Amino acid sequence: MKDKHTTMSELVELYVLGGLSVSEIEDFEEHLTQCPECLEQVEQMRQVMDFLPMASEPITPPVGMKNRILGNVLNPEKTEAEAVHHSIDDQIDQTDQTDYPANSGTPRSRTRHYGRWRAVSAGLAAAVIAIGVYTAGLRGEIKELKEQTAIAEETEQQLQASKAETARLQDQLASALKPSQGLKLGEAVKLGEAVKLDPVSQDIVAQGLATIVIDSQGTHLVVQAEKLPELQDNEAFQVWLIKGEEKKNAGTFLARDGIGALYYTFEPGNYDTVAITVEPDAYGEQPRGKLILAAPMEGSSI
Amino acid sequence: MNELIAERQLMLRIIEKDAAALEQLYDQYERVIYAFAFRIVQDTMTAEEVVQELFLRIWNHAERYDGQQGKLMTWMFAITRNIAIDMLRRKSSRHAASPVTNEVIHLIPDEHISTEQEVENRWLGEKVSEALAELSEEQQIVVSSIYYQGMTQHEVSDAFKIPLGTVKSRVRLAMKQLQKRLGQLDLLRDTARKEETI
Repeated sequence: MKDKHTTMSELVELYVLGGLSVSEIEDFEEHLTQCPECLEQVEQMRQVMDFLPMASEPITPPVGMKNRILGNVLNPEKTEAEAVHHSIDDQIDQTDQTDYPANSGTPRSRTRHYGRWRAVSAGLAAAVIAIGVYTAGLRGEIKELKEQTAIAEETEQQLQASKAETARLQDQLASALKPSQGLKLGEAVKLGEAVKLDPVSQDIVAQGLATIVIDSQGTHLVVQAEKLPELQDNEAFQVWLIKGEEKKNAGTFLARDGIGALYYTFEPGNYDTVAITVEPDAYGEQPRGKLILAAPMEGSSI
Repeated sequence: MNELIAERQLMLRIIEKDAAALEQLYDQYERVIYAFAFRIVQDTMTAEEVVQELFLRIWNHAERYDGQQGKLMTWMFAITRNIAIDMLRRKSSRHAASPVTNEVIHLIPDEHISTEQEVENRWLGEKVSEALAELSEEQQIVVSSIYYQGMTQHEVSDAFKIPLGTVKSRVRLAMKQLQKRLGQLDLLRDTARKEETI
């Protein structure tokens, strides 16, 4: 029968690699306090371990990751925008059982919330939250833009651009608030399934989410996207509702730090696909630019 | 040694809540830490979450880094793995867990290798990858399951239907072979360190 030292010394590699259970770790670490020989072996083997992370394939971090992370770490106060992302996460959890990234924008600051919405059919509450989510997101963006404007020591041109963007977002916010203002308890409202917008090719890292909200004001499409490519010159992101060969312009939007959103009210028309393209300008009636995100809308009520 | 001193000074500045120091640390390690996190969680957004959690902990608990115990990067890798494995486990508890036997990874090639540090990291990475590739397939599976997927020896035994003793011996042999291989490259040192946790 093996003595305790022999038995424990056979666990050195597993301990260092991380393959012991909690109780085994406790036993082994207790042994380490009394066994310099095993402790020395652990130290030597740990040096080997130190190099394993270096074997990871190089991969370019997502665009804007540094700003998001340092922003969240250095300013841990939760913003409305963060609350938006959390709510959207939960929505994704509910509607998509695939491994869609658990975060639609910035990573969570501290803890993950795994609570799921369970009441799509609850209609009113879900719709209000969905609209609230969107408008709160816009408020967050406006707030950030204002802060940027206040501290910016950039050129006058950049300042003007920021102000124009703020005004645009405020307009969007005002229009987005309309349906929610019109909502009353008991009013018939339906929240459609959120569908994930997937990149159309491997060189695109953008991701998005499209949601249909139906209330007494009509049918609304809410699109959120992140990791969007940087726009050049007059380029804009354009959302399309597609039925076969027919492509309906569902509005344009710009992005900041790769994140953008759009709220669009439309007449239902059995559309089968929602897509986002990068257009040379915001004035085209038909797609001319590159398709980046798309999702089938089968079974939805649009 | 100068490198160690510089790292300690950097961490002292972070303890004093010097945001520029944190940014410097971030810039220095973003790529290797992100690559390691991605290797474990296999998802870009989750990998970003891991990196954020790492820097959040560093910002809030930088005093827990003991410069006497070794290189900063080693400490950061250890915490990164803890966070990533923790996220993996939580994720697998949400979705029906299935052993990852055939990983399909969409990798974006690194197009910005310019600094001396990155070149050195790349060289190190190649050498360690070569050493890992020299392990037998059985050894690679066991090491990968434990190190990158956070499985215990018992879970590996169950998942791959191999006796516990075999798991143990494969890990031992694999680690000793890696030790020998890296020792030949003169990469191993003699100084001792202690366990890193935050």
